[in-house]
Amino acid sequence: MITTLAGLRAGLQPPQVVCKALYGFAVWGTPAYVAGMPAATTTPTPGLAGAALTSWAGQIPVPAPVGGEGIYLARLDVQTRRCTGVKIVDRLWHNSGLVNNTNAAQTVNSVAWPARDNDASTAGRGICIGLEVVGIPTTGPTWAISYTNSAGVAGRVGTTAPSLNTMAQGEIQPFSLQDGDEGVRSVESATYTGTTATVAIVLVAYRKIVTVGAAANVVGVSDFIAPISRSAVRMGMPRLWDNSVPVLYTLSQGASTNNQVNATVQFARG
Amino acid sequence: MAITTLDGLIAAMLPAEDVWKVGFTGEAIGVYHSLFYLAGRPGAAVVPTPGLAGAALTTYAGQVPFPAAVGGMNIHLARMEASMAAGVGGVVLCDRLWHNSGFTVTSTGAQTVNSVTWPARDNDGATAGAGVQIAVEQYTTGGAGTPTLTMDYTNSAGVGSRTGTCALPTTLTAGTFVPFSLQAGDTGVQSVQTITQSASMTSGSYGLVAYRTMVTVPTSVANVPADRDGIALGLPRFLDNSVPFMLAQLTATSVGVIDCAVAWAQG
Repeated sequence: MITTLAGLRAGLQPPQVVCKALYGFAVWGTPAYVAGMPAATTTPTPGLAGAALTSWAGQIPVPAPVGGEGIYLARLDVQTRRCTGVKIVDRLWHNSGLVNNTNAAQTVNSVAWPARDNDASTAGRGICIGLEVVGIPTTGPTWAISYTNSAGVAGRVGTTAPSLNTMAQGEIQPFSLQDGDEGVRSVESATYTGTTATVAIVLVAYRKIVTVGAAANVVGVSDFIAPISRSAVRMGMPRLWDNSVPVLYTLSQGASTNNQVNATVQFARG
Repeated sequence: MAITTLDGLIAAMLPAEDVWKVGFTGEAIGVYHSLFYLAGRPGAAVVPTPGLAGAALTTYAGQVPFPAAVGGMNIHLARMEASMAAGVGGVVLCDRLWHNSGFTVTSTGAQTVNSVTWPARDNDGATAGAGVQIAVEQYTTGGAGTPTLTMDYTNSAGVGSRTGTCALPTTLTAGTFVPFSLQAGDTGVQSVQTITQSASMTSGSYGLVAYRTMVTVPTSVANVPADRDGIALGLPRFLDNSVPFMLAQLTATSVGVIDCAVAWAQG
């Protein structure tokens, strides 16, 4: 493990670049489906039970695991256009196949997560569930999930707040957890509570790694924000477990057009 | 073993704890709002019901997750990030030592509290109360009454019959968090003996919270996360079995999603 500044310096890996073409979000969303670097990924299709992820085409490349060594986020440089925040999450699981033409509960019975919760286990502490749009909905989706929490208690209920906008591909709405819960171990079912419509959404299980501000900007002719940079210590030495699937999310400043992000992500292994 | 070097801090850092809460409508500009009972992650806490003498806290469902105590190791806040979608101001991280319930909100007589002993988590790691404050936390929306609460307490020097006051506005919004002013010269509260309302609140419910303010991260611009590392925060030490919770400082009554994270270092 990396336990010193010298060890951090010695373990630095070549930086990875994230550079995406223009997209348009109004809330948090991932440009993983947008052309650029990494290349645009395709809509997940693993079915309702989903797939535990150890890699994904839309992820930020991460060092291969080496026995006895840990992987840390060592540096993050970000320049954005019309975005106020950048977040990196570890994407543990996603599914597909949910439909919006019924208000009946849809069975999910998610497969077991990879052992990458806050404690590097499958219990689910620190794991959140998000509703990610992969097609274009006509109205903001409102969903509820029945889940087992990280303490192993089943029958818990999570809900999304109704979106105020027509959500774009990649945007995500997190589920609130039931009283006192700290994470999700598995999802048993999902129920759509809005007006039925034909949309395309997936559930995503993720662990937040770090969020940094991209500063405010003024929408105008040249509305790129000056780059921000964060070091490992400033970010709290974020640890990524072996075979993590780091994915970048951005928060739009509210103008749902011409979002753009250029980022350099550097890991350290040791 | 204490954390005394940068290398020690690096070695001691734990995975960050994600904390996010849904938007809400607060009481007024400049008034704190407790995030304890809001939906999100962690899930909302349940309003406590321990009675007037209250309960000393070492854990409470809905708190900011905190590492289990390990003998010989200290726990420090190594990083905190915070953003607000609207109503920006700041996020305050506190340690919750005690809370109570059961006040008769329509009574203007002295109500006996005689709080149980705090956990040994004052500024000195003791029960004396150095740096411990008391606040009113509104559990359900208040009625039209506007009482001023007078608190009879023992200060952190052990001197009894001290007086603190707290003026409450009308129809106090659930979640509002209003600190008591202490008597001149006092810097902490060791115990609470009675509470007296100057007028009926007419309806609603509230409790008292004994807490210690640890850090504040300003959220100056809507939706722009602010972050501070351990050094910038002063490497605050949270004592074993702390019960961290957050307050929002408001610059508007309408507050959007609050998105935070804390990283602890244990070494």
